Amino acid sequence: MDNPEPLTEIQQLEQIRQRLVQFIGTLEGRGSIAHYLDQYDPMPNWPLLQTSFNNATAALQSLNTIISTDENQALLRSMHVHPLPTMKKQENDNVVSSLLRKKLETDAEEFVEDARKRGEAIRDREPGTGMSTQELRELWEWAGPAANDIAKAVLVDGQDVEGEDSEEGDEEGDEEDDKGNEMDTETMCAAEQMTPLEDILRFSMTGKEPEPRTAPVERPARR
Amino acid sequence: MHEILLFGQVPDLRHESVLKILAGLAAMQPQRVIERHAIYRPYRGQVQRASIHTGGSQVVQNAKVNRQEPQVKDLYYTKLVQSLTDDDLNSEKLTVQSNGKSTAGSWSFQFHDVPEPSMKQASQRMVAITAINEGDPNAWMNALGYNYLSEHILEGHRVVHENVIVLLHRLLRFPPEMRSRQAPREQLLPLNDLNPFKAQTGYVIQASIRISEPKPEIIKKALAELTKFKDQVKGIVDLTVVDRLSLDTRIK
Repeated sequence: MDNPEPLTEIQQLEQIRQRLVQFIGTLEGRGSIAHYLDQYDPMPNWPLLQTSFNNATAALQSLNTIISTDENQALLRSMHVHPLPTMKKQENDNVVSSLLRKKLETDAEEFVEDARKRGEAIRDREPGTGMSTQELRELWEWAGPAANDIAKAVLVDGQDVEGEDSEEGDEEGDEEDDKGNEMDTETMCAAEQMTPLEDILRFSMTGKEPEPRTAPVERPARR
Repeated sequence: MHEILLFGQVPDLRHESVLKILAGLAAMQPQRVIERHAIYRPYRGQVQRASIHTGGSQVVQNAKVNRQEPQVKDLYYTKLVQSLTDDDLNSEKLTVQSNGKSTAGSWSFQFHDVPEPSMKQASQRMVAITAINEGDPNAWMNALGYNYLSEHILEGHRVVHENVIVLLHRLLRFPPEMRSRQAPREQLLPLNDLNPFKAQTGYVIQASIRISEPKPEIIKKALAELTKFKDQVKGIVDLTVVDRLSLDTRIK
């Protein structure tokens, strides 16, 4: 579609295109939030959501860095879409119409406008004032209990905690599904490293050295 | 006396903050607790046990039989506990003189029974504590038919909230080359020179209520209060029922 130009410009475009593809992948592909939301019912567990969110943000960030370099900005501003006559309209109808559209789609336009307003509001704020009291209160009222729940769900998996079997059963199941998840495994290791309480108590009562255990020992049923 | 117990574990990193929270909850300054626990094993136990022994895997049955007879207390590990202060640990002087008299804190004889199997919501066990006012505790124990086995130092803090006694502690012991084999060590060591019982033990939190008699209504009341406390500290420490066999003091 573009006139044959020095390779660098094509490369520039290719760079941007790659970042875009990557970003779209994190939004729609396997491992994206949308993907997990489809797969899990009622909800995917939080480490999954956080990982996919992080991936998406990272991709968006790198896209942003690429687009906002001076050369790329200049290139993008000066570039125009020009379909060649040989391009088949029937086959590429969608692509052509969205490429030739000068204005954004209506909902996208509203979204961009809204985002711009919010961005400006944040920028216009006095430096150092940060969020308003109202916003802070909202955040903390939500964040406190939420973080607590999350920590519990993760720690419970590694630790010997009794009496929560019924409640935590589901979450534990989910977490076992992705042992590969980094954050998950790390926290679990931290919890597992603690000497089992039973060993400590046994030592305190009888002076017996705990037996070395490699695998988690099956514990006798007590209920 | 009976004890109703729940246990939990606190990582080293959180020890300070948990202690502060407990102090705030109980509205009292945590009391420093340093105790030296010397564990004794009866040497006459073997003989008695042999007479009861009837066959292969009778251990559980034996225990049942044993509990009905008072004198088979001999089959249990028993402790001598000496309460100490930071000064005792740091002082150069001997805590047990050559005539057996203790210059540091007082000793007591403590017997802990195996927790009751019937109790599910917490561990309940019989505890007998007898203060030893004078004399050589080790010699006394030997005369009673007990041999010194090992010792460790319990270090931590205690707070009392309503009827719940909360003990946040860890176990330390002397470095291997300094452990005594016959009797409790005569000289103590400063806290920093003691080894933790194991790497990564964290601190153990023990919440207990002591009741004089195991009457059902008293137990019920104590349990209710302990459960209330458990709910109060939920999210700070998880108090749980431990395997009763981990508190087993029987000699196997």
